[in-house]
Amino acid sequence: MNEEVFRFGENDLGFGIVALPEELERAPLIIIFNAGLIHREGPYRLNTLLCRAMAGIGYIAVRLDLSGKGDSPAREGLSNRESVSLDWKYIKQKLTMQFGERKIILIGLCSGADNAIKIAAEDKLVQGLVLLDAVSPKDKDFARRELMNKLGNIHKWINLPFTIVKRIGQSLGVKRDVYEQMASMRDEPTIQDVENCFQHMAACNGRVLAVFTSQAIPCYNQQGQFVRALNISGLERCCEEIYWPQAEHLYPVQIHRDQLVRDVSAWGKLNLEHFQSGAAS
Amino acid sequence: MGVRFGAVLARQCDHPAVSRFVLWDPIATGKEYVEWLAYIDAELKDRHRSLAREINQSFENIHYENFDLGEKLIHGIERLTLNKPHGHVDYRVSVVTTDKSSLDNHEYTECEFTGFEYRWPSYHEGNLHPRPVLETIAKMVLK
Repeated sequence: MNEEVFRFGENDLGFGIVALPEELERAPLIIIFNAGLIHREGPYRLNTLLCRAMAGIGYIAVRLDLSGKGDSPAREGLSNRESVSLDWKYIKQKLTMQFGERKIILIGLCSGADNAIKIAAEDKLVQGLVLLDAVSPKDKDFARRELMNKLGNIHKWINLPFTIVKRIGQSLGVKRDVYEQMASMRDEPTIQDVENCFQHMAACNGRVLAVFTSQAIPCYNQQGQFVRALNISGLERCCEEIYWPQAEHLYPVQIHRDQLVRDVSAWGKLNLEHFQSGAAS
Repeated sequence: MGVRFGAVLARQCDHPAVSRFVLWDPIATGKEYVEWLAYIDAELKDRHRSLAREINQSFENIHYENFDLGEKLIHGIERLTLNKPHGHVDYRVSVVTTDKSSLDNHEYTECEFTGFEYRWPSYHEGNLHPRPVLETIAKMVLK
């Protein structure tokens, strides 16, 4: 496997690294987006590990900094959505110039998953997604399961007085809810984006791997919920879900990181031929 | 140039051709660095214990297993130090610090406070630094 610098954008100021497989000819393209404001290496070098693993099994894998993150300078006067959309135009242009037209798989964690969904909603060349802690819609039984989980958890009962004090503090504005503040900074895809994205995935017989860690518990609490809640015909055939509440959002524990890389690689191996076959439809 | 333990490593290159060392929030000894790593691991483990309680599972189900440095490497790291024996001042060293108390360290001939004091995070998930910190570093490097 070789790695090269990948430049894109106005005056080629956008920066990334592309990992190349031994067999380039039919290799599909993977692009890994920034997780939040973290640079292209990803949390605990997760993006680097994923890129190298995917290049090792036959994908061209690019980890890059979108404008305003890592080594790519920010643009003035554009919203996040506009800037990401412009980045994507340049990235695709450059990749097509370098490798020709190929099927594209997007990988993203958290806001990276949000960006992947928004782009896949509009770009038909995107035929695969690996979404790490994307926002999941809730199905009709979500609230019941959540309540049952809480009622059956002795630790929740022990902590109840502290939880009540915390909630009162938050509602009075004395104590800030850090997670809510962080979530408010996130530029999530709209319902329309989500529908367009997954309708396209189902229609093009794409492939989706969605992994949910403990971070997703407020919106996801059962394997299979994502596809069920989206309720898009055909999506169940192409979407695989992993519910992993034992892992933290940014995979700070090495054994969890290794496991994730193994899971994504296994998914990549399984679908390599599918992504290699024919031109993008 | 070196940041945190990287400063200790940079200072090992004690070659006459090195005209200047720029050290950003240096950790003084390898021993301190190893203690810091142990602290990070303990904090992470604690977070995962809370997580286990949150999802009503035993901690064993979390499969907590982090990186292992190995005894030999730890001993090697612990032997490294940043400063020369007391009294020896190296005029090539410039320090950028986010810790005001470092300004009193007389072994640093040139030490500049960034204007920001913050606790270095106990995790490695892509630290973000205030602009004045980066500007002070750039100023020192370009001096």
